Amino acid sequence: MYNRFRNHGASLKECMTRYVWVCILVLLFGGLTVGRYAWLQLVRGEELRKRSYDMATNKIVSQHPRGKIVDRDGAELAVSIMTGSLYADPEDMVDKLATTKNLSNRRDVRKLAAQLLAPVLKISEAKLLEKFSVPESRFQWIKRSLEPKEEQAVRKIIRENRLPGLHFEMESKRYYTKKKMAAQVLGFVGIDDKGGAGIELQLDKELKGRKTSQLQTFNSRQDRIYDEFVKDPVEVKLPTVYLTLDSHMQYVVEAAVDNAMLEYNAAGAAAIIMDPYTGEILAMASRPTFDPNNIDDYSSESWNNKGVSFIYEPGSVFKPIVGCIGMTNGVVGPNTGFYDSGHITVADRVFRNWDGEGLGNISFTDVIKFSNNVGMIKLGQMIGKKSMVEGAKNFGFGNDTGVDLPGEESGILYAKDMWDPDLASFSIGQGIAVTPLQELRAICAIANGGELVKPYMIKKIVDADGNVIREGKKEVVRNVITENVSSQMRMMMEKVVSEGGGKKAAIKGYRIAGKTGTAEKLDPNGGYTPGKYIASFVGFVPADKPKYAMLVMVDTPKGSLFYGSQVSAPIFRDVLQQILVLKGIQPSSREGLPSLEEMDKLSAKLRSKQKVKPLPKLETLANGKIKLPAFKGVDIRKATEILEAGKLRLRPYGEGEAYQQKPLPGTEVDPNTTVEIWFN
Amino acid sequence: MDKSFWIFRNPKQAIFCIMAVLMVIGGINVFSASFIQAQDMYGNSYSFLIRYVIFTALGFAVMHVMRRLGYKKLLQPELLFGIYITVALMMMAVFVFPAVKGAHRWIFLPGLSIQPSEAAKLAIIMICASSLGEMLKRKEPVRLFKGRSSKIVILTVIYFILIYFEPDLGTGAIVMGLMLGMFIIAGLPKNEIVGMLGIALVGAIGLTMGTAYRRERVMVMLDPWRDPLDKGYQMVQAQMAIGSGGLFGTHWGQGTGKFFYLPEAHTDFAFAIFSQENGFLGVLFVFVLFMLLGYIFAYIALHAADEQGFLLASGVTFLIIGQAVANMAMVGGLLPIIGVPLVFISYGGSSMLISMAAIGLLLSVYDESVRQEKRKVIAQEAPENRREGLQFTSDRRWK
Repeated sequence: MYNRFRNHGASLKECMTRYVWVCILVLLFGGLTVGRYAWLQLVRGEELRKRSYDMATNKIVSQHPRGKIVDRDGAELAVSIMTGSLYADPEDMVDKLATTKNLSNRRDVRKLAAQLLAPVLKISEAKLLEKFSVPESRFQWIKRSLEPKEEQAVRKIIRENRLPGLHFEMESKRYYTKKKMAAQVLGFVGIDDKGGAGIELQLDKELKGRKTSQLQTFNSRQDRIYDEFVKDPVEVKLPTVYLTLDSHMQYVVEAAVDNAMLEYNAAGAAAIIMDPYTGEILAMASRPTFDPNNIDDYSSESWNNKGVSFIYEPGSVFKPIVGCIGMTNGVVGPNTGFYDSGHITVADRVFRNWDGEGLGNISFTDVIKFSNNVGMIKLGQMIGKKSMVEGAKNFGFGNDTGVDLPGEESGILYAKDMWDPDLASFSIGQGIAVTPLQELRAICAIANGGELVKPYMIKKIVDADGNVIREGKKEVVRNVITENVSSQMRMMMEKVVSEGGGKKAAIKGYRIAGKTGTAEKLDPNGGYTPGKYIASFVGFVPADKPKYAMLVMVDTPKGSLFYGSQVSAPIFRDVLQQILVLKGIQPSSREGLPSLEEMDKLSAKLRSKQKVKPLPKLETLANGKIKLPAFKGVDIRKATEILEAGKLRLRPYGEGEAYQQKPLPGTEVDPNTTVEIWFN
Repeated sequence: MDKSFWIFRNPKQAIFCIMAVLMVIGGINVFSASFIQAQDMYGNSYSFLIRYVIFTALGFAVMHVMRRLGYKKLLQPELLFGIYITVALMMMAVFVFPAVKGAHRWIFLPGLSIQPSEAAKLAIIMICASSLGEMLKRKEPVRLFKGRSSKIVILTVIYFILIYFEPDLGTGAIVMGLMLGMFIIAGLPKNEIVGMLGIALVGAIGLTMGTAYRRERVMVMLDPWRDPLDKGYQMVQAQMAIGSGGLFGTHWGQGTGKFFYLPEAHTDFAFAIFSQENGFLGVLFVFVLFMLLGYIFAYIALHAADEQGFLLASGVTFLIIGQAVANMAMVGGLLPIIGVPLVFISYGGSSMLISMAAIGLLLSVYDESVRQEKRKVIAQEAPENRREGLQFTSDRRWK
């Protein structure tokens, strides 16, 4: 039976039985195979799908540029453009799937890439190779923020040589168009598009370039596939931040502060211009300063915005506040008489006038006008400790102003344990520490008729579609004095400039109110630092209906001049003189002033300090050709206008002012020629 | 014999319908799996699809010719010898042509390439059917090393050697396997079956382990994830493609495997792409279609008019269905990568033509059985033949 077919053939039926058995075996194996597919697809499906997905997809992160910061009129202060940063994935820098059988065909990708890229990136081959060979690394920055031309060249090399493991990440690069101007207000942007100070820090969330990520499918050669399913990243347009700053005023203030720093060899300075009615900060400068385009070249101390973060004893500039407190409490009026013997003893401390001279019988107006210490101390005693501290608090001291800038200090206001000498010191602006902005705001309350306003820097934030998403508005914290008290104090302060210690702040034809102040500098460790003064001046103009209030503070002027009246008052005058002309504010009286024509010329001259040169003109020649002028310094809009007039086309590169052109100036070209101009 | 088959009027119609469905599925899949590579290689996404359609049309022509000629004429020993020699010469000719991925498997002609080893499979089936059928009829014992049948073994071994040196061990093994299958159903004594399977096993292991890359293939088949980026790459890619299909698939055209990830995505591994895009339900559907086809093939084989017809139809079943299952198993990782195509689903001109020719032969087996049936019916109905006819029926019933 076992070997039935050894000697005779099988019958057809027997053969068929065998055939059926074989078929059943095939069917069983087929069933096993289907089971295998079920296992792969249904049991391990999720895991394998994920593996396959991970293999074929990559998250593509698109970085969008940071939002713009502009001044109140829309002039650009900080803009961002996207630049590519090159990074390597060293582990991936090998030929992996190419001809698995033939190892010798594999290129040394790292060496090749280093060779090819070294001349383009201007990094030595050895250094590149070192970065490409970092063991077990998946991410190495090679060069960040490449110039567009460099980036193109590198991309071309990578593509043509199929270099694996080299990628670009688009990063946002910040440009501060006006360089150092308003540096502390604007702040800066650190790595990874992070706002480091100023508005950049304050509004980091709003300004920060959005990162959108989307999954992209790749084929095994790392080309994108299924592009039709992936929309190009829609550029997330960010809002534009309008500051209350006025570039023109800021420019004038910056120049004046720079001058002062040079002239007095000072350790630092701060100047603020505010609209006394609304609280808008129109200009704010701080020294030492920095260029936010290259923050690494400057010490971090220069990032401080002294206007809001520097605390100091105000000294005599505090006296108008004390005066107002007195008048509000009804203990004093402009004509209240004081006797000044030149010094006054409180408990065991002797206080003197700045010159040690006594003025005899004087009115309160004179006390303010001459910054009389004895009179002020007597007034302080009349007001009393409790009322004095309450009054100062009422004026916003001891609390931050709530300005929309980071790093604001609230100053020091001791409410308790005030002894008699403390009260005396307080009356003359000592024993209290303020920030320049606090001081200026309090003076603004005098200027505007009694409203303590909240200063602000952000005029509005406008989204990409032009909708205002946030608007800075005038905010009255409280009414601190009556209109009557404020007008009396304005009058007294006007006298300070016209007759008293602030004469150097006077501007012919304008009614200026102000107050000088000189205080010994506080030592961070307590007490005073002898020989170091802070010279300040605070005032507003015009005195009857103020448009601008300004504070100037110079920290430690060196040399023979250190009084506020000598150092800061002239800065105030220089700045406001230019601004009044620039803004076309008519003088109260024309006595002793230049004629209107001369004013216009002066105004034009001041304006031209910021705007340069007459516009270039095209010259049409007899033969129909056009002679190109030099476009240097012209902006895109102007260049377009000029070229359009001559039927020429413009191909612009970049933004800002022209610095290079092709064809060169003086070239004769036919109409319809394209002129390339590079803007910076 | 000419009975209705499910919804179909007769087996012939059933075969055509199932084939048509498989061809449509195959065409779609070939296009989906190949358009990326076609674009990359020829700049024309439709390149492979067009050729698939052309080969399908040619296939129908070949099928028709084979069917019309009929297996009785085609299984003449003289003709078969001529076919055998032609195929052998073609398999020698491949060495003249350039190697692809290190193997001489193709004869390149302008516009098309021929893979003679595919023809060898059918040639062996035909030779076996002819010879063994004759022996069965004469009740001669079928032995591997004795008698007439041993000559077939020699012929097959010659083929095997030729294919082995291409090198294409997988196809060589299939040729040997087909021959062995034919021998087994033709009544090979069981001790020879066991011995042969033993030799095949030892031979397979020996040949496999003898060459480093084949050994690696087997090792990698056992655990492709141990070298997913190199040796196990194809296997891993295939499994990821299959697995990512899940139950319903990624939808047509949206699989990622074909984007140069999976080698041979439109040929031997086309079923992986199919699995990815159509999911387990698609796999099941195609499997069921092949099994139905197999069932009809088996039906035809079991109702063949004579021994040669039976053996030929059996061989065709193994060729079409056996290879289909083998391909699915290979793609799914149950078998080592042996380069067996999945007819209709994967792109392969030679395989398509040969398969269609085989189906043509099978249909001629069916035609013959129908003719014989008719003759019997006529014999039954003719009064002078009634006695004989009744005898036959009783014979069938009781024997």
